[in-house]
Order: sequence, then C-alpha cells, then structure tokens
Amino acid sequence: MEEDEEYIENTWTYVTLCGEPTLYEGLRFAKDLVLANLCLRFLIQYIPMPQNVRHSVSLVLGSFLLYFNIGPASVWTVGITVGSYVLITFLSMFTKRYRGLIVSICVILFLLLCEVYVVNPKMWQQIRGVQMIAAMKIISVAIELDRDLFKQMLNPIEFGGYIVCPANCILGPWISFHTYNQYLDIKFLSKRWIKIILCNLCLSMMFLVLSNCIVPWYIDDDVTKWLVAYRDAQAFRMSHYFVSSMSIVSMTSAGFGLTNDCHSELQVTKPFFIELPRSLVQVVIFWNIPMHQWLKNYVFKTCQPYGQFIAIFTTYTVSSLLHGLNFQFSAVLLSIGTFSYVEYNFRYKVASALEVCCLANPCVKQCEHKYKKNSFLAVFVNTLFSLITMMHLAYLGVMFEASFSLQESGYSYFHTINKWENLNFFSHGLAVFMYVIYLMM
Amino acid sequence: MAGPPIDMKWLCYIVIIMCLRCEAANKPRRGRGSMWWGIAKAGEPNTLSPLSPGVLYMDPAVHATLRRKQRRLARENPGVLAAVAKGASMAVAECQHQFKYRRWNCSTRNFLRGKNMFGKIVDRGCRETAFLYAITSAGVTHAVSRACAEGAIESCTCDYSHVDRAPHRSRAATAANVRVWKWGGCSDNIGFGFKFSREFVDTGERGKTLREKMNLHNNEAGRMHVQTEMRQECKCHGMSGSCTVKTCWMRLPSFRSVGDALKDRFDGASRVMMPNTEVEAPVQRNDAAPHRVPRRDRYRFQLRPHNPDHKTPGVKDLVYLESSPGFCEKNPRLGIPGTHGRTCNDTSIGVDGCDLMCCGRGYRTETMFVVERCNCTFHWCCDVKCKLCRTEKVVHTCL
Repeated sequence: MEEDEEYIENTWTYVTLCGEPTLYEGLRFAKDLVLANLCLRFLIQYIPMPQNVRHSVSLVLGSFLLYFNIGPASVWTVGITVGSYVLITFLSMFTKRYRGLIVSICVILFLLLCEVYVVNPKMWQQIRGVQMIAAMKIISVAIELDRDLFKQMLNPIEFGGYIVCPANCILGPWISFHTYNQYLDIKFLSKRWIKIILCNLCLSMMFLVLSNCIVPWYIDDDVTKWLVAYRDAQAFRMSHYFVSSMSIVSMTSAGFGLTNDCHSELQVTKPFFIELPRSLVQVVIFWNIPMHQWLKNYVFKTCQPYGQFIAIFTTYTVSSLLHGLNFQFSAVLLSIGTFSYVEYNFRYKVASALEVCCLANPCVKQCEHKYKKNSFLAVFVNTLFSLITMMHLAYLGVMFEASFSLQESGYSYFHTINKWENLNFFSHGLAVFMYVIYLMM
Repeated sequence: MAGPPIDMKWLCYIVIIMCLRCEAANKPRRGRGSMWWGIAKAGEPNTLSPLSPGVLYMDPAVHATLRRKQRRLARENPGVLAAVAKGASMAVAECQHQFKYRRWNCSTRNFLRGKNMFGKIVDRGCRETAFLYAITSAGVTHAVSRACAEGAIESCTCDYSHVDRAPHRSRAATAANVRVWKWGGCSDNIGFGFKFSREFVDTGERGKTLREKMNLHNNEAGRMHVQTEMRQECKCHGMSGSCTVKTCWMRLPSFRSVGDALKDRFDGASRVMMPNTEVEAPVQRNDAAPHRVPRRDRYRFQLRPHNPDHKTPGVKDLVYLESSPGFCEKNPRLGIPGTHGRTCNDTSIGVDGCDLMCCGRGYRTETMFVVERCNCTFHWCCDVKCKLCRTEKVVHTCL
C-alpha cells in the first residue's frame, strides 16, 4: 500500500516537474507568434491601406518574427526568397513553360546544398521546417505562374510578404498565394475569433504536455518492445499535433483561415483519424492536409501526364527531398509509400473477394459491396486492418524517439537501422507477405 | 549552626559541576547538529492537528530540538518545515529499507528528552553514522526541491529572471551564431533545495573538529547524490521532426535511487583522518575565488584516507573515523539493541541469513498463519481489487 502511494506521488511529481517548464516554454514560444500575428491583423483591420502596403506589413512583421525565433539563421530564409525571386524574373524572360520545373529543382538543390555544405547540423534542424515552408510556397508560385493563374508577374513585395508571412512562416501550414491574398482583406471579427485562438492554444498545450510528459510516462520501459515502440511513436505524433494546432493558432490570430461568419475553415491534421486509423493511406492524407494538397496539386498533377507510376514516384521523391538529404526521412517516406500501396491493393482484392466494404478509403456514397460498412464482417475486417495500421505507425514513428543530441543535430543512418532491427524489420516483412498474398489472390 | 546550609549549598554546586563535567566527559555531544532528525516523527498522524488539515502542527518538543538558526530558517520560509519533516521521515524509511536485512537495521526510538532518534550510535564516527548523515541531508534536499517545484514553499518561487542567463552556452553554438537555447521553467528548485539543506542541516557543524568535518563531508555527499542524479531532459518539436521549438525540463531522481547509490557508497566508505598539517588544503572547485565566499569555507577541506594506499575520498564518497561496533549483543552504552528477536532467512548465506544475523546464537522457528491480499486484479480505471488469503508462513527469529 505504501509503495503504491509512493509510486503515485513520484509519478505525480514527475508530471508536475515536467509539465510546468514544458508549458512555460510552449507558451513563451506561442507568445511571440501570437503577438506578431495580432499586430498584423490589427494593422490590416483598422488602418485603411492599399494591398501592397499590406503585403509589406506582412513582410516586415514576418522578418521580425523570423529573426526573433531563429536568430541570424533567418538569413537563409531571406536568401532563398530573394534568390528565387530573381531566378523567376530571370526565367520569365525566356520561357513560360518550364519555370516551375527549373525553380523546383533549384530550390531543392539549394536546400540540399545548405544541409550538406553550408549550415551546421544543429542550425539546420532548427531552420529546416521554416525552409521547407518557404520552398513549398516558392514552388507553388512558380508552377502557378506556368499555369497562367496570375494576371501579371508578382512584384517583390507581394512575393516577399507571401513567403515570410508571420502567420505561417514558422510552423506552416502551406497556403497558396491566392488564399493568402484573400485572407489579407478585412474580416468580420467577433468574440468567436478569440475563442478559436484560445481553444487551439489550449489544445496545442495539451498535446505538448502529452508529448513531453504524459505519453512517455504512461507505459513503462520494461514492457514488450512493441508497446514501447507504440508509446514512442505516439509521443512523436503528439508532438506533430502540437505543431499543427499551434500553426492554427498563428494563422487564426492573424485572422487567416476564417470564413465570413468567423468560423475556422483551417484543418491541418486530424488526430482522431491518425490515432484510430482506417488505413495507412488515410494517415498519409490526414497527417498534414495542406502539405498533402500541395503535393497533389503541384507535383502529382504536374507529373500525371507521364503515367501513374512516375507521378507517384516523383511525389514521394519530392516529399522526401523537401525533408532534406536524410536517410531516415527517405526510408520512412519510402516505406510509407510502399506499405500504403500494398495495403491499398490488398484491401481492394479482399473487398472484392469477400464482398466487404473494407477499401483503404471509405466508400464515398452507397458502397456496392454485399456487406455494408456496418455489417459484422466489415467491422471485423476493418478493425483488423486498422490494428495493422497502428502497428505500422508504431514501427515508422519509433524512429523519431532519440536522444536529444540526435534530435537536435539530425538522425543518423545507424540510428534508423538500429531501431528497425530492434523490431526485426517486422513491418517490412509483413508488407512483403501481404504483397505475395495479393499476387496469389 | 550556620554551617550546614552553606555546606549543603556548596555540596549542591559541587554535585552539579561534577555532573556537568561528567556529562561533558562521557557525552562529547558529537551529534549536536543532528537533533533536528526528531522532526521526522512530527509528520506522523498523531501529531498532526485535526483542526487544520494540511498545516503541520509542530510539537513544541520537536520544535525545541531545532537550533535557533533552524527555527529562524523555518520562520523565514513558510512551508519549509513540512518539507523538512517529510524529507527526514523519507530518509528514515529509506534507511530502514536499505538496512532491513542487516544487523544494524536503522532502528529509531523515542527521540524526546534530548536523545538522538537513532540512538547513541550517532556519537561514534562509524560507517552507520556516516550513512545517517548523508541520507538525512539527501532527504531534506530532495523533499525541499520537490516542495519547491510543487509551489509549497512560498519563499521559493520560480525565478524566471534566471532564464536569460543562458547557462549552457557552448562555444560551438556561439561560434555558429545559433541563438543559444535558454532554460525556462523552475531551474532553481534543486538550487534552493541544495542551499537550504546546507543552511539547515549543517547548522551545528562548524567544521572545526575532525568529527564535524566528517559530518559536513557526509552531508554534502548526500546532497551531491541528489543533485547529480537530477537530469535535464529535452525534446524537439517542429514541422516533420525538425527542431523549431525546444522544451527542456528537470527530472528529480526517485529517492529510492538516491538511497541505493548511498548504500553503495556505504559499502565502499573510506576511513579517514585529518591531514598532517592543519592548513586546509585547497579544493579545486573553489580555487578561483578563495576569499569571496567566506561562508563556504567550511566546505573547503580535504580528508586523508586512514590507509595511505587508498585514494582520497571524493565528494560523493562517505567517510568515517572509527570502525563500527558489533551489533550482535545489546549494548546500552552505545544504544545498540542487539539482534535478539530479529527475523532471519534460514536459507540465505548473506547478512540476512540466520547464521550471521543471529551471530551464532541459533534461532527459533515458528509456523504462523498470515492474512494477506492476493489474487489482485486491475479494473479499468484505476482500481485494484484483491482477495484476502490466509497463508502459512515459517518465521525464523534470532534467540
């Protein structure tokens, strides 16, 4: 009995000792972000000014925010912005078709060169997310120019304001230039607005504490390795939810992503659909919805004329290159790609063989299978598949649990292989097994 | 006829002086800095006032055992006394846990009437005493740090002004112009616990005699164990595994691990003597500013091992002066109860085995029925249900 009490007391102390500084740090981070964005919103809202001035306000505030958050490293973001603008204007003189392609290649090459030669690893890990968002915005502008979606070439202020907009330059989410332009208009703001900000702030803090303190504690270290893997992967997912809801906070406080009646129309991630997944395909979609849309719009659709396989392959390559030249990300993304491909096809076969509604994506309208989605067989098969998906997620997410020095300076090849070896490469084996059955069916 | 009363008076004086001298000679009062240990008993339910739950009611007798400076500290830091009491009782429990199966089992007795809670063993400078000093000082450091983190001590607030001092500024990071990550949160909890423990626990030990040096060293060792086991843990957050936001926090070790570490040091404790010269040898850590902090001077001494072949004891090692007395037989002079009536393990060949525990006196074997909880099942959430089982147990007790 005494031991129990002591245990509860110790764990409670642990949670408080961890929770308080965690919340403090999280809120300190949120403070700058929210202040800069509120500033932007109030300036736009209450001082009448032409659109170009709004863009420059966004440019100035965004640069300040970047500087306060990542310090002198923000030079790299400014560099990529200026460089790509010069490149786009230069290319526009010669071609109207290949700007997207050339700019994409240059931007990605720039990121890779930065990572390998120029920036030290710690700093790179710090600015990687920021650079990724900037790169996505630049590529989207270049491709939209090719598609003739702009009446004329963007002026530098519009371009700069879009790239370093304080609402999403640090944590994302990606939005297209047109949406950004639209959001800069005056909005109807009500009490709801503050409520949305506060709700998302609370939500993000909850995820932060879950990720740092609660999830790593609620499963002991000395249970089976799969439970430990599940726990570590879940802590990483919580961290992702934290970042996503924090990005909504920053967007909303700038008045971005609001409908005309002051409802939030932003959705970055769907925690429930990831924690209780239907399939890996759905997890990939719901993990980061804006990023998914970006990949689909600008990479997949651009490559579609060259065939389905090339389109899918390019999409995964671009997505992994955007994350940098890192074995771990490439391995994880490639595995996700393969697993979801196998799963998609396997489930298609199973669905037609058993006549059950168990496709990777839920049927849009009335499904044509004999056993509908509420039938016992369908529920059973789907549960089975979702358990497999949860296992895949544990297998893939366990990578991101690492010592702090490794998190800070980038994951190594050996770290990745060690983690998977520890789990006997089980998910890869399972995927191969499912593929073989799929071929035999 | 005026003689007898005067004689009586003188006689009284003489007797009193004799007594005082006797006491001075017999009881060198070496454990003078350890009387506060009695506070451990203050946390027990019967001394808690039923009218004001949560507020520790201090038994005046307990209060009397505190030195003047300790009382002042308690007054200046409201809430700290409860933490000290908790730390002390935690230390006692941990000591009794660590020494459960040894001849000396850290037994305590009624602490009042000016006696030491652990008995007269404290008057000897032996290993056991060394452990007692270290564990109690560690207990206070631990409990005060924790109370500080939980906000139970008013004078120990989270001093966020420390945040911007960037304690972990590394040269590599500065060279690369990365904004050095700054510590947030209550970084000073352990610092407060450490300093408070030095003030409170080391009050009586001026560091003049060898015994006082021993006490100071062991107190410091206990604190060092708590401090070094405190770990900083950090985590990165950002888009797809990048490190845009860093969060760090401190992790206080469980007191059990501190107890385990100290028990290890107990087993490897070093016997020491005074250095040849009385001049205090300079200690590396304060070399830079030898005269700036005169109060800390009492911690600047180096003890020499009794056996010159052994290495000098480190900051975390326990030190003692004389070999331990035998704990087999009852010894009222040293307050040793002896191992009569202790339970032992007849199959073990270790210290808890009946041969060693009973010191060869032999043991009695009894069979008894014990009612205990069994077949416990966990019900979601969070309830454990058990059955009561009657089991037969064979108990061996020393004669």
